[in-house]
This record gives sequence, structure tokens and C-alpha cells, in this order.
Amino acid sequence: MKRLLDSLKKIVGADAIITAASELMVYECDGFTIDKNRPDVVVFPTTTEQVSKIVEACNYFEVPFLPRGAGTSLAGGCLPVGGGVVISLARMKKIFDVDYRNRCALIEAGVVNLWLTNHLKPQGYHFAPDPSSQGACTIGGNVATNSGGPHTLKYGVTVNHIMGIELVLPDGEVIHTGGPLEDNPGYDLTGVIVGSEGTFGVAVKSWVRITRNPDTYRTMLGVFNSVDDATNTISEIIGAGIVPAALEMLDQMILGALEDAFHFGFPLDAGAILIMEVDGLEAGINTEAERITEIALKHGAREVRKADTEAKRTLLWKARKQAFGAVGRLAPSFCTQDGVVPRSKLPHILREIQRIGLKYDLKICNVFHAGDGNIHPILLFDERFPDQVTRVLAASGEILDECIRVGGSVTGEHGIGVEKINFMSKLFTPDDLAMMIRLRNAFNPTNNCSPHKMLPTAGACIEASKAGRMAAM
Amino acid sequence: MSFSDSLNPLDGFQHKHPSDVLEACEIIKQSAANLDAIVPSGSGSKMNIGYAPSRKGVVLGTKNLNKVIDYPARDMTVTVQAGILIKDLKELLGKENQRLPIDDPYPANSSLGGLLATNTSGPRRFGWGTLRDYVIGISILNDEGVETKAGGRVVKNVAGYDFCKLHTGALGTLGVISQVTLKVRPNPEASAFLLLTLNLANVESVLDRIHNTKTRPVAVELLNKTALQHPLFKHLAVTSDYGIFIGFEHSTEAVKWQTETLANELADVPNSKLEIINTPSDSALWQALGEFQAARISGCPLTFKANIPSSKVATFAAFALDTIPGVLLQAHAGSGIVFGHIPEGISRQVAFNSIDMLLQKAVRYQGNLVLPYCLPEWKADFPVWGQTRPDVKVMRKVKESLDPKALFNPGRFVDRI
Ligand SMILES: Cc1cc2nc3c(=O)[nH]c(=O)nc-3n(C[C@H](O)[C@H](O)[C@H](O)COP(=O)(O)OP(=O)(O)OC[C@H]3O[C@@H](n4cnc5c(N)ncnc54)[C@H](O)[C@@H]3O)c2cc1C
Repeated sequence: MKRLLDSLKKIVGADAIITAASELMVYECDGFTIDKNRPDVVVFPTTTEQVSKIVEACNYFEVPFLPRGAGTSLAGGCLPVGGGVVISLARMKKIFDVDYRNRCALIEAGVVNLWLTNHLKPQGYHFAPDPSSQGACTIGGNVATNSGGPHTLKYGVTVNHIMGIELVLPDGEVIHTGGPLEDNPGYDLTGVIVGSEGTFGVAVKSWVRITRNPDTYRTMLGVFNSVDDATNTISEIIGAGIVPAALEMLDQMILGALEDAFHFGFPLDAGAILIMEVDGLEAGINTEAERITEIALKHGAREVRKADTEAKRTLLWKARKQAFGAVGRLAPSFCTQDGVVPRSKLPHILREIQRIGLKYDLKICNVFHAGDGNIHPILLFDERFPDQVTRVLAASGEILDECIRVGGSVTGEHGIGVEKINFMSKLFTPDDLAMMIRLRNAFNPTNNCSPHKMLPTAGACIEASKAGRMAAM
Repeated sequence: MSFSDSLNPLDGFQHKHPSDVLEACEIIKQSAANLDAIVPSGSGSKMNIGYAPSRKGVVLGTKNLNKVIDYPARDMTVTVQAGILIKDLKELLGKENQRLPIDDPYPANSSLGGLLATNTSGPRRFGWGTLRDYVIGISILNDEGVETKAGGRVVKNVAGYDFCKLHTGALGTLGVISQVTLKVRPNPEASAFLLLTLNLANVESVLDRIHNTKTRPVAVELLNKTALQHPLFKHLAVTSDYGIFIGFEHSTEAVKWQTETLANELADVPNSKLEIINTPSDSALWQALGEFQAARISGCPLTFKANIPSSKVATFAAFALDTIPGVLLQAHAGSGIVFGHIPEGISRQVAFNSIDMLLQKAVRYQGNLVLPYCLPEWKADFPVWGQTRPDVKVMRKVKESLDPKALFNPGRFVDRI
């Protein structure tokens, strides 16, 4: 390790390395806090060449390494299993080249999602993927996890907006896939690198597509007496062939916490609310908003309010996007799941979540990307009580199992990470997983880059009794 | 003459049409044991694409793998076997007033698997994206004759690697696509084109203005005069240098507002003519604009497709016309994709030099140029897949890892992978 440290110092300089235990603590986990492990060192490169040399040094000394953005992953993607080197992209935050005429931009991995959108704003453009963590998370992290957000319902997830990547392969070689133009001949390597959770190497730069801002919005708040009415409305809106810009559900428990934090004026006696937004041209937008309002009223909405000023809309979205932060008011610890179900199965899965909460005597609140069928049940607990942790893990497992049973997935946007690794063999057959390992081998044959992520290690059999525990680990 | 130079690339192949996935897997196992090549084929409409296979073997036809597995219309997804014909898929979705908004030149003859393997797209890509934006689940018959899957049946899913992206546009070199789950869209309520005919001198500035328009076109198609004389467009009687078709698909109200607004925005283009064509989204004009890029023009020895910045389309088109007089051009101008059919009578040498010049030009713009159609006897030395880029190294590793015996379409794709 000493010799590796010397090499790293030569590459990036002493002020771009952290080795003190007290400072390393920040890097022992990410937004998923149930499992922790301290890395041996964190390095902060500022150029692609440095990243490449760091990777070469790690390989030379046979020390595992792992890229890290802002560390907001909710799946333990940044957990340095077995220690090793964390390569932080936080100092690579240049926006090089924005080509408005051709609607693309070249940016470094450490650029924070919202900075990019703010940078583009004066010209009337934005970066479409808008995870709720967009004020903190990096484009590199978005690329690695294929992030979504409220508006991905209409505009697509990260992969739909990434055109090319500069990648430092796990052996240190630098390659460019795709680029500023569409339809490059050959395999869509960019498409498979997105969402590979750091297991294909370090993405240092991306060519991203930029999107024109809509001319106008209609943002509405559907107020429902019950979660059932709200979820039925969602599946009716989608079933009617309407593609809203966003369709988000918040239940009563989360509304209370949000109201305390933001004083928006949410109806605290409502069973659930839906944030329903349409956007686009002025022409026709009122008709679209009216159709949605009608459907909501027909399916049990008590009222449909309008967020009809820019200030109200901004506050509403701020409240929605900071919902996780407000959960701290409800319990000392929480664990968020990220299952997906076909949208017509939303009423069912929400009822199941309620049943499972009762069964394990846990409070579970819900705030999620309803239009995509992407649920985010938030299980509240206190991590000082091991019994509560056990129940949270068991309940999480049961919720995700039910998502699989109704034809869904265990993760819509947060990724498998280490948290859901044992669910992979429930979603996929050994043959499916073998193909994934073969693909990983094409990029990362030694598995020294982001080891123990996403794919269960061959030979490690999954004990049914532990599946629940692993679900949130 | 060696096999790969023969005129029909599939001469000497055995043709098999398994009736189900199990039988298809058996054929793959057999071929793998004999190291025979496996050429996956839907309806055969796109078999000319790429080089001839470097080994003989079996053509594995998927026309019987055409079942609808699940169509939960209210979830806006559909799961079908890959051999389904595009026209049948369209009909199925149409019953629920839904669609896959990807243009296929020959829906009656092409299969979904073929569409996917070739990553075919057309005018609507500007507004609606390409296949990679719609495939959410995929099943592949792998090199061991085993059906494996990735993705799923829900619209948002990040569990596991995204093989959907990898197989889209891989020309069947990584396995046989057996089943696909797609996101679908509601049919638009209305559709219309604004047709602007104009002189060469104004094309670039007009394309720039369309880029900044207040409206949101879903297609921006640029065709030159020779292209517009093709039977598909002849009835429009365009006599100017170029025609630009700006397509809208939206609610009736929004389409009406957009055509009128854009017509106003472009009213002052010198020596131009504007026409609003209200036409449904399944009309002959939409179909013609999707078909022309793949049209077989009599005597045409090759068709090129360049990918360049959208801002360079006008310059590139003018350069192409200078380099190859008589070339029939169509650009999906908003996306920077330019197709050109080379006219009859051009010699091999002249064609070779001209294509090289266009290729170099595209590469200078950070793009590339490929030949979706080329006379088989010309393929040996023409840049069928354009200029090879350094990331081909990783592509080779992917190929070697997923198809180590090089069973699937050997030699047909980029760098003769
Ligand atoms: C409050 C809150 C709200 C959230 N809301 C959403 C949401 O709405 N939608 C959503 O999708 N996610 C959401 N997330 C999850 C998280 O923010 C996203 O996954 C985000 O993309 C992670 O970005 P990051 O920069 O923090 O990456 P990190 O957490 O640092 O890393 C995430 C993973 O990516 C890898 N990685 C990071 N950078 C690179 C790189 N340059 N090259 C290769 N691999 C890399 C890491 O190894 C790790 O596996 C939320 C998280 C929080 C805490």
C-alpha cells in the first residue's frame, strides 16, 4: 500500500489524496448507510490522464478501485467492498463545449446535474434527466446508474440523453464511444456503459444531448381521500394514452413531513396527492390539462388544485425533490426501495406495501415516480435497534419479491449496487447472468474495477434466509 | 472466385425456418458443433447490408417466431417474438390506437428482429427518437443455443446490463433476437407537413431557422430536385433545387398552430414556395419519406448514409451534389443523417473516389459514412462500414466474449467482425 500511495502522490500530488482515517469516514458509504467499509485511500484526479495512471497503478499493485461521484447512490454503489482506492471525480467539473445548434454538450463526470441545467438555462435548454438528488449528484453518477427523475416519464432516462463517453477502461486504456453525433457504425457501447454501475471502467467525460425547454407548463395537484383512488387515477391517465411530463404520488405521511418543512399548504387530511404536470406548447395544453383533471375527478379526486404561478410550481417541485430530506423529521433512519411494476399494477402494489408494513409493524411512507410505475416505499426505523433493522430488511425483501411476481423489477433507477445483488438471481436465470458476466469480462476481465457490484459472484450461493437481509445491504 | 465475392451472399447456405424457439436453439447447437455460420434472418429484406458472411452455414429464418406474447395496452408495452412482421405489429397496436413511432421503409416485408438488428429509422427520429429508446426487454438465442434475456417488461428498469442497447444495431452478430418488449406510444391525434421548396442558396439559413422555430417539428426532411423526381414524390411537382418537409404530429389544435406559425416564420424566404399538407400519420407521404432512403433506384450501384452535425447538412448536401452530379439526396436534417443514391452509369473508380471524398468530409465533422446498399462485386474495397474507429477494439472484445466461435454473421459487420 505504501508503494501504491507513493505512485498516487506522483500522479496527482499530495493534496489530491486522502488517507487519514477521520477523513476517510465520509467515503465508507453513500446514500445507502446500512453497510459501511472504509477505503484505504481516496484520490481526486483532475484529468483523464491522471485517472488512467491511477488505474494502472492500482492494477500494478493489485488493489481494487472504484469510481465515485457525489456519493448519493441509494444502492451502495460506492461501497468499497474489500477496501482499496476510491477514485473521486468531484474535481473534474468542466463544461467544455455546448453546441446549441447541434443540441449536445461535452462535459466532465464531476459536473453536478443541476449545474448543467443552470448553465443551459439562458439559452432555453436543459439536461432532461432530473433525479430528485440533482442538486448534488454528478453526471458521471447519472451515467453509471442510468438515473431517472420525475420528468423521465416524458423525456426518457439518462441513457436516452447520453451520446458518447470517454471511458478509462479497467486496464487504464482510454477509449471514446459514440460522440457528438448519432448513428456511429458499430455496437452501441455507449448504451451498455450507461447503467453499468462503474463496472466497465471510469467514465470521465460524456457527450450529452441537451433539450429545449417547454414553452409552458400546467402543474396540478390532485387531492385524493385514499391511496387507492390516486393509484387508480394514474393507471387511468396512462391507459387513456396521455403522456404527462410528470406524474408523482405522495402519501399522507410524507405530506405531513413536507408541510412542516416547506409550508406549501398541502391538504394534510388527504390520503394521497398526485402532482400532475403537462408541458409543451401553449396550443392545446389546456385541453390536455382538462382531460387529466376530468380523469382525476372521475376517479375519486376530491379536488384538483392548480400550481398556476411559477413561484408555486417551483416550490411544489422543490418540496417533491427534497422529500427524502424531510423524512428525517419522521424517523432517525430510513431505507428507500426502488421497485417497478406495470402501471396497471400500482393499486395492487401499494396495497401490498401497506399490508407488509402492518405485518412487520413498520411505518412506510410513499413518494414516487408514479407515471413510470416506479415505487419508492420509504421504510422508517431506528438503526440503533437491531430488531428494527431486521424487520426493515425482511419487509423490503417482501415488497421487491412482490414487484417481481407481478412482472416488474427490483430497481427502476437506483441500481443494484451491493444492496440488491441477491435479487439478480430472482430476476434472471443462471444463463442470463452468465451472459452478463461474459459482457463484463469484455470490459473488466480481472474484475478489479468496482468488484462485488451488480452481479452475484459465481459460486456464492444465495441462502433464502439471507435474501431479505441482503435486500437492503 | 471465393465465396465471399459471390453475387448472392447466401448462395450455398441451408435455409431453415424453425417453428419454435426450441427448434431454433437446436439448429444453433448443431451449427456450433460444426462451426457453421449462422445468419439470422427475419424476412430477408435487409440481407444486402454489410459484407457477405465469411463462412457458409445456415440461414436461420425467424418468420415462424412471430407470436404476440403479451400486449397489456394500458401499460403501454408489448411483448412479441422477433419474427413478427412490422405491418402485423402495426395492425395489433393500431387496434388500441397505439404505435411504435419508428419508420420502416418496407413494413409489409420486414420483421421486428431485422428492424432492430439494423437499427432502422427514418424521418420521425428527430421527434420520437430511435429504436434504442423503445426496446425495454430482449431475449437472445446465444452461441450455446440457449435463450437468455435482459431488461424486462416495465418501462423503467436498471437491473443488469442493458443488452437491449447492445443488440440494437448489432446486425445479428451477437446472437439471434428471439423476443422483444417495446414501449409504445399513443397515436397522435393529427399530423401535417409544411413543404417549403427553395433554392440551394437558402437551404442552410432555413435549416438554422427551423432549428430555432417556436414550433416542435418531429421530422425535418431535406430532398434535392433529383430525389423529388422519383415516383414517390413526383406528384408534388417540385421544380426548385430543394424541398424541405417539416412534419408535425400532435393534437389537432397544436398541429394547426404549428403549421401556421412555421409558415409565418418562413414566409420571407426568397424564391420559395410554402404549402401546408394536412395528412394523417399513416399517409402515403409519411410512408414515402420513410421508404425513399431504402428505395432501389434502377441501376443505382450504391447508397451512402453519412452521419454529420445537423448544422452541416446543407454544406454536405451541396458538396455531395458537386462530387456526384445526379445523386439523389435525402437528409433527416434535424438529426444530421444524409442518404444519397448514386445514379446509374458511374464507373467503379469514380464512385470509389467520390465516396472516399464524402467519407473524409464526414470524418472531418467527427462523423462517418457507411454504405447501406452496395453492389456485391464492389464491396471488397469500398468502405462498407465507413472509417473504423479506435473503439472497435472493445467491440471485438465484446464479440469474442459473447460469440467466441464467431458463429453469428461472421465477417458481415464493422471491421469485418
Ligand atoms: C435524496 C436523494 C434522491 C434521489 N433521487 C433519485 C431520483 O429521483 N432518481 C434517480 O435515478 N436516483 C436518485 N437518487 C440516487 C442517486 O442520486 C443517483 O443514483 C445518482 O445518479 C448518483 O450520482 P452520484 O454522483 O452521487 O454517484 P455516486 O453515488 O457517487 O455513484 C453511484 C454509482 O456510480 C458509480 N460512478 C460514479 N461516478 C462514476 C464515473 N464517473 N464513472 C463510472 N462509474 C461512476 C459509482 O461507482 C457507484 O456505483 C437519489 C438519491 C438521494 C440521496
